[in-house]
Amino acid sequence: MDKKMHDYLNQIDRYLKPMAAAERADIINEIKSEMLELEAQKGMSAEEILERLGEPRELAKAYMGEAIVKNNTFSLRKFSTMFAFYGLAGFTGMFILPIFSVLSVGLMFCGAIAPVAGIVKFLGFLVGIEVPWVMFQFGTYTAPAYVVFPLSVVTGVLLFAAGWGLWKLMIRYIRTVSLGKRKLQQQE
Amino acid sequence: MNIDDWKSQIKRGTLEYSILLMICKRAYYGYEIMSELEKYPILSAKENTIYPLLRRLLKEEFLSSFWQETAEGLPPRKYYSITEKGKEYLEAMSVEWGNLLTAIEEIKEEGNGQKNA
Repeated sequence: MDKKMHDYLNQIDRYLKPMAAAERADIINEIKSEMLELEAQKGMSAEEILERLGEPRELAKAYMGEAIVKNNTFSLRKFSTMFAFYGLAGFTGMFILPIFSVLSVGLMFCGAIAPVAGIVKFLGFLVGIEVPWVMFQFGTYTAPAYVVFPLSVVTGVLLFAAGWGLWKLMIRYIRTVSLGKRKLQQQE
Repeated sequence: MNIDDWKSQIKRGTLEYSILLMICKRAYYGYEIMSELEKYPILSAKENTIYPLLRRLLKEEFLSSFWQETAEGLPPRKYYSITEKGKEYLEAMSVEWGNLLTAIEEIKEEGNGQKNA
């Protein structure tokens, strides 16, 4: 097999790093199988084959775009896939994706932490201990210890919902970007 | 007049249906699907569309895949075949496809009727 085709496959493999190893190997083998078939059956040269397949990063991006869009759940693997995707997505992605992803995960994290802190404060209040490092402050208003817990739950839910909404928005953005790209390729 | 944008929307919407219709008859491998689709310019699509689409259909369990050795001394090929779930999905798609064609036909005829009146 030609060195150029080998390099091509290696590049795809590198771009797909965030995917599971078995899935990646399967993708590479399928492309490799097509390359060898085009070479043997159609007598195509390495250059012609690579031209047909297109830029390795574009092909890798198509795989990753489909993998991210396919479901709406949150997982660490998905998060890292998305992070790798933004590197391929181009200029707007360089701003929107890192900001949205960090912000959405941050908000969801805060949303989860707030009620926990509220419980600590509330337990402290029950047994008569002042917990000075947990307090609910809004502008000049400081909530008394016994309402901190319900307030923290409400705040937590709101923060989490905001994070979740951003996450969804980001998925939609990725979908638009990858569809837009596909459209351009089909028009060529 | 730019018809390309509309054509690519049509393609996006019908590629999945076309591929399932093909695979429903027998197992196909990726390159074979692309060569078959190349016969029809409105449906022809490249690797960066077909492979990710096939992966999604696999993940959704409409398709299953297997690697098979070839006789001609080529490397093994990855074949796709339809699952029971895929058949049900395809049937549902066929119904909707029929609905769409009927609707278009009716709308066309309505237009003619008005013209004649």
